[in-house]
Amino acid sequence: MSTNPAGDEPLHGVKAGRVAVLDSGVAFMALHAGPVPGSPVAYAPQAEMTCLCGYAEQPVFMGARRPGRRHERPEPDDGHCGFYAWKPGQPFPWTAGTWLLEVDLYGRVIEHEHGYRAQKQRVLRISPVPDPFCEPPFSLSYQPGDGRVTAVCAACPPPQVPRHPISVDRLRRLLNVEVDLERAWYLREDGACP
Amino acid sequence: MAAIGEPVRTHDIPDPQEVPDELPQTEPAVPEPTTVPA
Repeated sequence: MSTNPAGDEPLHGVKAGRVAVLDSGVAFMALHAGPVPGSPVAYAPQAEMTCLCGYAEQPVFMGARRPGRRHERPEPDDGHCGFYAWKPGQPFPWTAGTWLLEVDLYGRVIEHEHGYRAQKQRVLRISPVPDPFCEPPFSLSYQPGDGRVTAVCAACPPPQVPRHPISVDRLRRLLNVEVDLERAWYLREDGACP
Repeated sequence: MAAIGEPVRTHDIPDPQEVPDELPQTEPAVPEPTTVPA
């Protein structure tokens, strides 16, 4: 592994995530986040990582309590913390109900073969991944309690539980990121990975 | 971790500079008056 201290420009990456309405506002959620609002894996559009390596370790080893590890930034050979993203052009699985996030990565960034693990991340543009049979135009809504913002099309059956509509302009203002309702749909229709 | 492969390189990238919405107005440079010897 080598270092590249000369690069000053953020690295561009793509990833799948969720957009959720929490009590504290609108935030992004990692795909592995649980249904509990306020999970530590919720993050703002511009954020620095929170190390969760200690959560995955046994605090007691052979009867001795040991402190959980906590990293200030990603380390190449220790831990798994940081913002993950794929390199542009790298195929990855898309799931309906998630969002395509295009991000800038900076601070300490560990470059892997197919992606990155970064200390800092800024979300630039987001686009919802609709169901396979959905077609534009799309509209956005969320279910209070669950909080996940998803896109539906005009042909989608009405939800069993009432959902709160969200305008694109309002979401754009709250997150301060570009919101493109059809970008992920077009990419998937064209068979092109981001 | 396996999905993104093995680590190959480490980058230390400074925070990007915030770009102001409007560029500050600058006064046009005024040339020094030329003096003509009498």
